[in-house]
Amino acid sequence: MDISIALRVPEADKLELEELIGELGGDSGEIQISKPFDGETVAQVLLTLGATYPYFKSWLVFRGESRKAFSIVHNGTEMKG
Amino acid sequence: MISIEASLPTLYGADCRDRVQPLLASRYQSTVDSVWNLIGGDLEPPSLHVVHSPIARPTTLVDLNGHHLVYDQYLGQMFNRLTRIELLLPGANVVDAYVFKLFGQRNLIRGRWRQASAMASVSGVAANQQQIRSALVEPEDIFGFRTVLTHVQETFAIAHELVHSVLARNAGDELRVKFEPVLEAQRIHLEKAKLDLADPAYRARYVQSLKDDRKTLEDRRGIPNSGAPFWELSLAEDVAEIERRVVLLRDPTLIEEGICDYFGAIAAAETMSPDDDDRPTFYAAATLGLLHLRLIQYLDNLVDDDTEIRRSDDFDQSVLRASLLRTGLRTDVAARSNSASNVAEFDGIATEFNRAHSSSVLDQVLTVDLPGLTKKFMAFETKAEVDDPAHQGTIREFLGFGGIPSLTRHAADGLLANRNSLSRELIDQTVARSDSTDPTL
Repeated sequence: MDISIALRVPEADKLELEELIGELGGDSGEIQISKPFDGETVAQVLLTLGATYPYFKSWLVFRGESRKAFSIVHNGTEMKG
Repeated sequence: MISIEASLPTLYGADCRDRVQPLLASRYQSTVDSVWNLIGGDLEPPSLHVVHSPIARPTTLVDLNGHHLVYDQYLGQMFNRLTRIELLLPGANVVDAYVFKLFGQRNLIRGRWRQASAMASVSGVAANQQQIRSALVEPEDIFGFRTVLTHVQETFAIAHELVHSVLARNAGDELRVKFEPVLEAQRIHLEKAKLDLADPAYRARYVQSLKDDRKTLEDRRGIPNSGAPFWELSLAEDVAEIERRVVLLRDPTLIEEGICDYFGAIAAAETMSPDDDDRPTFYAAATLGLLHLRLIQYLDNLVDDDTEIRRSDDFDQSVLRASLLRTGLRTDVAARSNSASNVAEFDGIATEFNRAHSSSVLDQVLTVDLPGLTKKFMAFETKAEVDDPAHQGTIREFLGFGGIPSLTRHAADGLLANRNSLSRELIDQTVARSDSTDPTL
């Protein structure tokens, strides 16, 4: 089953998001720059995870291990990494 | 390419457009148009997308299609309820019920279902719907005033974001130049505050006002507060606090937020009334809106379990932003009307709003150890229970975001049973033990 999520990273890490989109191919949207009231500016992208999930998961694990900030939004719920 | 509209269910929840009221959405569009006419120049206005979700924060977005503003209609409801509380000053139990509900919602949007569930239950114990309704009955004049104040706060929040949208396009140089005198006035204000604190007579009055505030809070709660007496800070500590704010005043991020607050407030008032005599009230309402938005930030910091240092930094920003906005708007009122009475009126109303917010809402929030209270009452439900989608629907329902068709009687009964096993006394005991009254928060 495909699942739609948004992946957020600090705006300074936008390039890493672009690389990820390149690897995932057609299952992703374009990068949006988002700034909530009082919040930090982030680069975010919508991803539809199906067959590309394993690659996405390994990207996430690597990012988590390198202690870099990210968050995932699904159905209006944001989980911070 | 995925459009912003198509991404909203992921970002704000599958039902984020179901509760949007078309009339309000159309009013927000008119607000965007009017404010943009004042500040946007030849730039293309951002496209407006209205949602309704517990996230509540307005957000600017930029993609390949251009600039967008997502406005969350629920923010207006929050402004409405907080303002109503501040105008009517209900008992501590009614304020608690709302603060717990808000904290539950902030946990909900972070996917912390057990914490959200605990707060939903504790909110219901603090005060039931009947108690809340009767405590918040409004006389007609208050109803009208509160409606206007809410409208100004929403317009201010939208206008603040629109100023960001101008600045994000490397425009707005004129705004930056016009803001310089406000920054200078704030620097002078901070220098004066340092001198004032060194004057023994001023300091005695300052300490007395802190003690009076604590006494008011204890009287409202009916229990002594166990937090440290923050008037015991030394002069050197108080001065160091002001000096931190002088440094912060040079921070580019804070300056940009200050510009958006200041011109957002002016644009909001301008679009709502051409009469300069309305400015004192409208500007004071904008300062109240900023306090409410900063409250959301404070609660989110608690949910994210930010460090004491980060929370303290954030508090410094809140205090400075509020003071900066007030300094700027006072100068603006003076320049417009050339009348000392309008300036005094603005100061009087803004002070009154600030006091009402502090004594009825903020002090309550600071007195209660919200994370501690959450942890204590989380024990009533297991992770497995809250992982059940039906149960999650119930939690959302209890926190004001219901309408989930899969809601089952079983899950609702479970949450109600938990509510019944809690008691007001238990909450008060936890609150009384709270050690979180920290003046730096």
